[in-house]
Amino acid sequence: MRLELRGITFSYKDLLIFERFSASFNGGGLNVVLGPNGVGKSTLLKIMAGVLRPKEGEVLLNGSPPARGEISYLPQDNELLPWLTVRENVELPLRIRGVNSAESRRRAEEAMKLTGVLRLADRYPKRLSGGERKRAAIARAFVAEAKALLLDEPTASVDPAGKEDIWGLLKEAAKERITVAVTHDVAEALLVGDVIYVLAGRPARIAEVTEGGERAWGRLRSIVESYYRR
Amino acid sequence: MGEAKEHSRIILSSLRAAYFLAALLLLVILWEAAATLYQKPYLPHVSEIGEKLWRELSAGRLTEDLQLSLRRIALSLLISSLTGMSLGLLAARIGYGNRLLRPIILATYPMPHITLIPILLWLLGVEGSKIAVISLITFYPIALSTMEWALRTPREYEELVETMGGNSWHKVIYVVIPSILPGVLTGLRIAVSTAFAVVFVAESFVLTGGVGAYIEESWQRFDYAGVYAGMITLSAAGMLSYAAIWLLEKSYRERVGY
Repeated sequence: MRLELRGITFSYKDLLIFERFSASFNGGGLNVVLGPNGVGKSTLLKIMAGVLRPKEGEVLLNGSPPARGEISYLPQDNELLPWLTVRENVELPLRIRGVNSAESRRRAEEAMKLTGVLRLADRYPKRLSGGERKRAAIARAFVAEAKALLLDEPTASVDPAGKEDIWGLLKEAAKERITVAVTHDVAEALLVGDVIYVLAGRPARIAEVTEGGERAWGRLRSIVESYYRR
Repeated sequence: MGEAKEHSRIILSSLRAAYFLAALLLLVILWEAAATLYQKPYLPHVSEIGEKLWRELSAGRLTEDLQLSLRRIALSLLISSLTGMSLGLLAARIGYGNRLLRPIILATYPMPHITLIPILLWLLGVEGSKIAVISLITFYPIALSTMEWALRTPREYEELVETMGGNSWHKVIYVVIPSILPGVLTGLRIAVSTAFAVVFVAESFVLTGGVGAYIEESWQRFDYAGVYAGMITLSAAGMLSYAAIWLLEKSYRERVGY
């Protein structure tokens, strides 16, 4: 399981965000991309999800361009459609694929049970907390059986106890699919990431900083500090 | 906590209803004072209007006319909603629609459409022209609010559906239509009030029944109580329709917070 970006060039208005940018993320562990606000973390996810088209370069999932629906993407906000209940939101990928309603319902309930939102199935997103919304959106990604799960600041609007739950769920999810979460929170990244990357600079560059023990922390801190100073 | 909130909500809506009734009562008192003071045939007493209204409603004449007017309004609103929503969506969502259709809708909006009645009569016949003129006038609020709301549909929701493998059709069904619904209902609410005002004009140029025709005939007979009875009937029906759509709109917005 491998999600790759090869030679990506992408500009937004006059800003060159990525220039011949390459990176790869593997399955089996939680990948966390750390970076300051505005560096292009969300853009990176959107390019991988196929929402933004780069000027040059390609995204490959296990060596070939991903088909629609193979990559699940959770934006920072608006991760659920507000006019659908939790259940309808979770069932949506299946409805889009034309799965019949009994089967969609069964699979959605399974996923909601797994993420702990089954009791909220008939609520509209407006009546959910930040953490509940995230868990419902993760249930939707489970239902979609996507090969990769991309999350933009998954714990940004979640209380501390909820944060732990969400990361726990994502660690589980990461065992079976490529999971990439971006965050600007250094402490959280260090705590939960199996593989940690730092994205910084303009055009952005990415560096993997995961190594064992004290050395990793020292190296990470110096990289982060140097990037944040820019 | 929830109970207290519910309790205060009930008190607030009762208060609103009480104010509405008080305003209505004030209007009746002012009318009666003017009628007593001026003693003119075109200012009949409230009791005369009330009696006329009661008589015509119980005899079935006004009820029949109201049914006919409501049928015309409903059919016209169905036509204007379908065309208004479709053209509003095309104008907002399709590149050429935005460049061509949008200026046409905006440019023809302030035209006095009612002046087209003779042409519509010639083109579509008596009944067709009545439906057409109401449809034409009510088309604009629906098309304009659909257009404005469709231009504001959050891109992120469409991206979500895209990443799930959804095509343009899925985006329209799951994102665009639900996101413009509050706007369409606002447009429809304005269209309904306009429809009740326009139905009088539409029904008064060739008299083939309807409350508009009833009012026009009453004018011709100098039956002023009849004129006001017709007006009250139309405005009450208009107010109820307006309130029904407003409640629908409010409950949708409260539910989805959008």
